[in-house]
Amino acid sequence: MINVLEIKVGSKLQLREGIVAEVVENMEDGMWLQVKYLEVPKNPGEIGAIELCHAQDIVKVSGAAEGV
Amino acid sequence: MPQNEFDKLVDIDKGFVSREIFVDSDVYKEELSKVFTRAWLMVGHESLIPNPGDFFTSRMGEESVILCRDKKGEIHVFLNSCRHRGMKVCRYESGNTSLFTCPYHSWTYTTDGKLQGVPLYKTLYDGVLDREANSLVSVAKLHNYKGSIWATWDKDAPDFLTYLGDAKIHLDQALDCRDGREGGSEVIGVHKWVFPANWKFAAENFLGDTYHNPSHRSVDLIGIGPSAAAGKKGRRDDELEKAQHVWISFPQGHGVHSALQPEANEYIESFMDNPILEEYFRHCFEERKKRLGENAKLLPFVGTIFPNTSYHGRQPRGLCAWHPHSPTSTEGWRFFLVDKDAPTEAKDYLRRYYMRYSGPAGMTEQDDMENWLYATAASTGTIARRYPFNYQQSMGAYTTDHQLGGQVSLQITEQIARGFYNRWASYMRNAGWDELLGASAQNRQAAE
Repeated sequence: MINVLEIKVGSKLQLREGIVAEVVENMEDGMWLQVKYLEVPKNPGEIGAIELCHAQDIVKVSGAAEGV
Repeated sequence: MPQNEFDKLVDIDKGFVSREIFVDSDVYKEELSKVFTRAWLMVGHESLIPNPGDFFTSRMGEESVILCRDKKGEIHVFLNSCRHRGMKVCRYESGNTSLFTCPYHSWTYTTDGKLQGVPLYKTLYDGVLDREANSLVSVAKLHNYKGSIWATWDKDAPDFLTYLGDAKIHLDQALDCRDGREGGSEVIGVHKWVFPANWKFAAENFLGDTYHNPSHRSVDLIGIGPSAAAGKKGRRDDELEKAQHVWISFPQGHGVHSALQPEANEYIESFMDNPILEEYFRHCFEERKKRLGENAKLLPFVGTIFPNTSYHGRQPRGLCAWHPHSPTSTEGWRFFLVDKDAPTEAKDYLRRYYMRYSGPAGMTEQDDMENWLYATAASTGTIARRYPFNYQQSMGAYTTDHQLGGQVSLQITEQIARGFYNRWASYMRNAGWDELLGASAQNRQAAE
């Protein structure tokens, strides 16, 4: 189980539906992260969108983003 | 209940009000849907939420609402209930947050009420759930009146100042600075407690029921006012001893007890227990006189803004909300007010004085509550309910051509209570806003 509280800003996440996102803010409630979509296979138009991402949507923490 | 039943329960012409309206569960349920979903209700004060993200959970009728300042600084009032399964999205009394997250399924809202986060949004809702349409339910109208925040669920309700009518200048006396500047108050504490009485007992008490003064004899004999240590008895200082007291019933159902100072309008020594306060309030009095001129003669005592917001205007000073819990249970909230820029010593002193007077431990409030709760309990019985309360005091003893507007009485009167219950009956009959604002009464008076 992923502990969302430990995920740092700048981390890269693999989300459900093949989405890849970068953490821009940890809401520090143990549930939600604000993320920026980097890859959205089903809807590339959403790349760059800022969304809330719930702990259940996270498949894997793939590591810190470059330069972070 | 048939519409005309309410006119039978409230017989203003004869001066009787049925006990049923204070104890009956069906009447109570109708009150929640007909009064508390339409009237303007006071939900809090802006000083309780000074910063972006600040919130204060309040009530409108029985329902929990969130008074919140969003990231941009705008004030909102939302129903505290998730659009998914209804769980409260905020279970704290106050605080600061960037999100309101429902503990049940984690639907999450921003501080402007928008549904922002939905777990598994892409997977289970195909990313197309209409988040805008599933925002927190917002009140229909909201008004920040000199720092006090008011709201209504009725989109057809008149604007707040129209609703307030001529009661405005009396409420102003509680909200304006002691030196006459407009607004500028802050809340220095909120007391919340539940007591076993119908909410209307409390609302009526502050309409201007000066007749119940004997119930406070014991407090008066002890002396809890700001000059008590200097030997003055009573609950407060005698600031209004030379004033002409006025009791006013307004057509919207509001009622006030205020006072007009005599022509000379000289400062009467008060706050004698503390020289700093005495000097501060003397200064405020003189400044107010300079600033307001003739209008400075009007000073407040108490009042109730229909249906359940009351105020104490001076000694003590605060707003009260009487939240219904059941026909026989009410949650009282007292918001203690001071001038934001008052000296710290004045704020500290006033906080203690207010608590000595009001709230669950306040000596005067305890007297009042004892009356309200025993009156409620003694009105629930089968026999008791056959006998209405008597409201025949000072029938007809008022004038309608006074400069202060409304029905002005120069003697203690139940005319204000009669007006309050008459308007209550209008709400219960689903009357239109013209009648609720008293237009029909004014037209009738004009015709007469």
